Amino acid sequence: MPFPPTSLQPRRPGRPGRPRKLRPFVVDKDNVYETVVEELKCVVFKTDTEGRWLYLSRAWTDITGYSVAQSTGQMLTKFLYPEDQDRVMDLFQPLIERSKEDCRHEVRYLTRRGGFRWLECHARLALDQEGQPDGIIGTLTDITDRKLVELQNRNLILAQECTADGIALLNELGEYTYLNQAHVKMFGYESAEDLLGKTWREIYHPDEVARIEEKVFAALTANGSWTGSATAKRLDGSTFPEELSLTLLPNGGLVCICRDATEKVGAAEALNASEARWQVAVESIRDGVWDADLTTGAVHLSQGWKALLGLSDDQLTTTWAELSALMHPDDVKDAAQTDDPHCILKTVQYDAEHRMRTADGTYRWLLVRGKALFNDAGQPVRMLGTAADISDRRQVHQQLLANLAREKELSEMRSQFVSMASHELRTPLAALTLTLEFLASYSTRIDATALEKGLASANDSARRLSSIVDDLLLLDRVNQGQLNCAAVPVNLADQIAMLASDPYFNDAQRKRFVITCNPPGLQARLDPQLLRYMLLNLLSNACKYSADDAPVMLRASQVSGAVVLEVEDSGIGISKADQDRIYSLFFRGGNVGTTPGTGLGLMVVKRCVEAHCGTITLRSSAGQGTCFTITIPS
Amino acid sequence: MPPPDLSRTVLIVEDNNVIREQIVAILEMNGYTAMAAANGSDGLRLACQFRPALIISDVMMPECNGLDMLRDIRQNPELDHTPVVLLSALIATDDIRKGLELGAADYLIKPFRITDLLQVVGRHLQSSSR
Repeated sequence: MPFPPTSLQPRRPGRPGRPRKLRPFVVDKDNVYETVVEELKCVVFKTDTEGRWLYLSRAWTDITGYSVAQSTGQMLTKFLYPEDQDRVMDLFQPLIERSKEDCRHEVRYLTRRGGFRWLECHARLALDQEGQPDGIIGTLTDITDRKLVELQNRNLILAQECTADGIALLNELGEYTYLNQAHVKMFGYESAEDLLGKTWREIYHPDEVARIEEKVFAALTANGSWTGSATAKRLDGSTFPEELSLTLLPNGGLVCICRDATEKVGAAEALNASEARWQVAVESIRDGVWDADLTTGAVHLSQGWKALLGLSDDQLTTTWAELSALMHPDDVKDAAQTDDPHCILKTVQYDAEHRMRTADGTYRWLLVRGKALFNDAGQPVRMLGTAADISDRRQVHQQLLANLAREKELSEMRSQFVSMASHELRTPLAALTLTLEFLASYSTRIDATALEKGLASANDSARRLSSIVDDLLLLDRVNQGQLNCAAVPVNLADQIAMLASDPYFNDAQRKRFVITCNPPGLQARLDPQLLRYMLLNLLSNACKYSADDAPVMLRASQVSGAVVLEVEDSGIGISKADQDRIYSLFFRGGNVGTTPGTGLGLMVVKRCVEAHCGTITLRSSAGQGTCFTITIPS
Repeated sequence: MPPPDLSRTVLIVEDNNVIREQIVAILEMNGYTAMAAANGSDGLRLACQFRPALIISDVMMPECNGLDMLRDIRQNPELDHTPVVLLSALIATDDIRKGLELGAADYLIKPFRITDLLQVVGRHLQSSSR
């Protein structure tokens, strides 16, 4: 590219007297310059005195994107970044005023693509042959990359100065070569100058210096970096905990980043202390504490659970499912407080009493309480609670309930007994008084047979009364444990025949008895009075609880030396449910209706049998009849 | 034998032999015709057959008791106007109350005197014959 005609480039006029053969060399030399200029990475330029581009080398296009052709003749200010326009003209002014030989400045030039590039300008005034200024010549070098790095560094330094972390650079001798403001303040100094050139050993206690040199430097050498804590020393001699991060530089220097950890350590210590107190509390109470993660079902149990259920250490970390498996099957539904046993994980507040299986397979009653903790979204995520052993309380409670129920039942039975006893006594009493009044009132109008019959009736009634009173007295003896067995040898067949004709029974009843004794002359050692109570009660029951004309069987036999007495009827029977309680005081079968009875008879029978060291069993089903079997050993 | 005078016929239902026989004897001594049964079902059968003018019945009896029989009598259109006097040894007023609710005309508490019996019988036979 030829120099433009207006170029400020010194013309190379032909030197007079110069040999012609030199011209090609000169021309060649120009070509060489031109080639060199055009190949330069920086822009070579010339302007006129007004500031219009007269010449621009090819690098202009490379840097700005504008072509040389369209730029030439344009004002250079048109290509400047707006903010820099005034400044550039100010910078050129000293040249124009010839107060300076040259100038150097960094300005931004616009690029064709809409951005800008930082260019370093070296410029000087161009003079014409008369020595008058005819423009400015110079170079423009693209320094954009360097500027960006500078800017980044400046931001970095700004950031370093703004951060709360202390940042320092140390040389291979351990002397500070840079400290940010935070670092300076952290150690109680006024300015970085106070520490620059000093070694780090001055701001740590000698013991800490020894520790760092021994332990930290070893790790630093091995790994290239180290992060940990240290105790640092302020200018006033006070110390503070410090979090320290050290990185070894290739030149043997160090980058040190540190932070005052006073508050953090304090908070951690407070938290640890609080946690420790809580742990001591949790582990020292007899109750078990549980902590369930509701999202995973994982459950952590306190040491207290070892005593509660005999769990081992490794069972203290468990799951809700495993814990639920220890619950008594009957309590699972109650414990869950819903139909779904795992729904506990969805409840807000948990409060239940249930049994849980211990290591030895027995069950303990636990009072389990818990409260859910929620996340920000209001979802229960964790449940904390306690479990207390309430087995003793529960047992007392159950016993109390059972006693109350028994008391209530006894009270009802007593009331029923009074009513029954009244009936049982008043009936023969009524018969007796009615008979005596009849005999007294109509003595003149009745014949001898009627009189005799009336007296017999009165006698029967009196004996019936006496028999009932005997029963009541016997019962009293039974209750006081005074029932003695005075066994004597008896002929069983004779005894039974006598009982079957006892006035206790009426004629219709006597006719129903079907008595067998095998062998007929069966001998046994028995208390005749107790035998009478046993058989009267059983026979009387058999009559009362079966049809009026149904036979009542009484069988006496000897089996393996023992006397066996059986009383069998075909009456209403005794339900399975009642059979266990049928010998209890005042108890009467559920199917007796209004049939009179005191609920004493079978109890008396049982005590009489036991007084003989015998046993009584029964075979019965409701509606099918009953057979009592008394076995008395010889 | 002349047919019984049904307007003076009393049915006695009582499981205690002595009481039953004594009541029968007392009533007969006083000019009444008495018939007797030892339980409720027999009593009901006799009542249906002879339509007595008055029924005297014990409450507590095996099988069909006095209250059951009373209920059956009240449900029988041919007997529902027959007065029934209950005999009870119960000091409990519950059964008496139950009996009166079921339509019993009166009651006698055992033991009772002959005059009490005759008074009750006389009163209810008069009212039923009117």
